[in-house]
Amino acid sequence: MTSRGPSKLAEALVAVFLPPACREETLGDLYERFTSPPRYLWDALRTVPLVIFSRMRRIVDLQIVVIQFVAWYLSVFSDVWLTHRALLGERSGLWRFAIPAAVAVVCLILDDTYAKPGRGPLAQRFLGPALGAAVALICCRTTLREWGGDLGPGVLGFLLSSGIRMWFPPITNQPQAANAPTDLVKQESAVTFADFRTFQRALAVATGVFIIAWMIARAAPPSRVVPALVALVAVYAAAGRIDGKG
Amino acid sequence: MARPPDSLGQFEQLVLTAVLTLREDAYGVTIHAKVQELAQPKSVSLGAVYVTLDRLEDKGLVASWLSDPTPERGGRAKRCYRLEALGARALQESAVTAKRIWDEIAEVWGKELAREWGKRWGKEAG
Repeated sequence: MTSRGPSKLAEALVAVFLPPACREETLGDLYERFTSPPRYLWDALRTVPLVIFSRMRRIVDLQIVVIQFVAWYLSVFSDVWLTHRALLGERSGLWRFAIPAAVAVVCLILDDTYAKPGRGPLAQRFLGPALGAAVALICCRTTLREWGGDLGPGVLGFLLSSGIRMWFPPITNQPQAANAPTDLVKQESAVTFADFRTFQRALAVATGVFIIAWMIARAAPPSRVVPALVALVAVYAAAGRIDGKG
Repeated sequence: MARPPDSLGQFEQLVLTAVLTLREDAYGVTIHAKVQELAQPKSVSLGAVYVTLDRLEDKGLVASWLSDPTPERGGRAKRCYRLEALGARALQESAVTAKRIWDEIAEVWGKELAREWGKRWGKEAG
């Protein structure tokens, strides 16, 4: 063992990928095992993906994921049915609706995985669906070229998804122990008066993210989608930080 | 009311044994080192130990808590683990089953061969 530690940059890089709920102990363990910078990075490369996987496995409920997927699929389907019915008759048309739905669900899972344990329950229920809606709208733009870029799938998906999350709240705030006292879990689920301030912020952030995504989906050609997505995720991450401080 | 534990996989048995033997000093790095020692000659990654610890915690076989930050870890806390009653029972059942398997093997292939095996894998045959 050595008293030297990894560089701040290497640690910061590893910390970005680690879910906040297990960041502290994982970074500490990697620090303690540090012998040289290449060895540290190799250790991190072997460890971080499994930490992310484990966190996802702990918080993802497969039944809820299926319900969310169906909700997002129906959102895209109903919008196309109302506005661009010709798309329904196309070969593999119905399969193509599954792509934005799947992307939105992946966003929800990532949002839960990377949620800070102290995040307010209302923000927790709105931010994920907001990101899902934004990315689904952008994804509709690339997978359904005939689709005009209207808000339909995003709005409906956002409403359904956040509704589902109200009934089945994500368990990201739950303490890292299955046998934690029930009181703690109940405390996490209960909505208090202070949460309404968080609710206002969450709603404002959701609306902002949503408007940006809609503008991107309407205006940007598909080749600009990747930088647009990066910008969107940056806005979302900044919103998450503001929410965390609140 | 605690439900009876599910049967443990081999890696889970190794991790539980490590938590049991390390007692108060059971956290990521030490558990990994102990599991590595028990699993020889196989190589074990730290990530695999984390995944298994999380699963054991979900099953209620171990409990964890964060310790105070220490300077040798860059001012970061450790997640310490301890064996729960359910985990002790599951490990006991696994050990009894392993002993039975070992006895049966020794019965059929002879105690000498069993002892030879024990030496070969760095363990004393029972």
